[in-house]
Amino acid sequence: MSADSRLKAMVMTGARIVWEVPHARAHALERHISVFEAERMIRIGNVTEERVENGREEWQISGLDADLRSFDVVVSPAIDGRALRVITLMRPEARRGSVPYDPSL
Amino acid sequence: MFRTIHRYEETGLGLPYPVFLIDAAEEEIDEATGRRVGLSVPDTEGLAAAVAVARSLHPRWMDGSEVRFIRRVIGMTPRDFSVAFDLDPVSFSRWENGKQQVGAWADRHLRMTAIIMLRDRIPALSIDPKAVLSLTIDESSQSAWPRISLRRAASAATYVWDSEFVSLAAS
Repeated sequence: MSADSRLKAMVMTGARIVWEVPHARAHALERHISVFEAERMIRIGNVTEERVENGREEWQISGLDADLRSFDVVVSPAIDGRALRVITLMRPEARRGSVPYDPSL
Repeated sequence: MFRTIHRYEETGLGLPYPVFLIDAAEEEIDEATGRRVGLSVPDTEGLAAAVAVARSLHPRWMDGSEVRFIRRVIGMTPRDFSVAFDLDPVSFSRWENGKQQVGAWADRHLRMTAIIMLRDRIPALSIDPKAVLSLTIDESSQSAWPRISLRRAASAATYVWDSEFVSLAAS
């Protein structure tokens, strides 16, 4: 089963979403991504990348927010399939070195 | 190990003030160190909808960041939102960015839109959009931010007002 199918199955069965604190929450604030938009992305987005970091499986989920700005959420699925841990959030344009987002503009 | 936090200040909704969650958020504790390593807030989309509706029932005038919050909860782009609800896109952008205060008519229009669009997401609450008509909007920019507190409904997977919020909204 693909990572994307596993993600959809976990969401359908009500897997708990757990944010690693403090860093995942801090990343969301820094990148102007609200917790509900991040969790909405987990529910409706698609896994665009998968990897194993320090023995832990990680999925990158990508999509757009309500301002049509792209962002990624990196989650790690629990082995028993009952939880998704939010590890970090990213703005792809920031990785490419563009001007940081300023919501007041 | 997870344990329920009796009173948690949620600051991750994109609002300029915290929202208080009563017996809703759960913290994950590392049993070896006793430190908090994880945080889980159930149904954050339902929470955001409940906050947007609660905000719409509070008399303080709408700040630009709150207008943006409501639009994001509904899940529409600024252009789609302004077109769908018959608002001037330029004015809407200026409201969201704090360059222009939301006028009295638009303020009520936004509140009613929020309630109509979001009330189905909080089935434990029965809300009549006409409640907005009886609100006396406090247009002073000096007035304090709303103090919104919510708790999980005992029998349903949804949020309800905490008594603290109900008394403040009615005052």
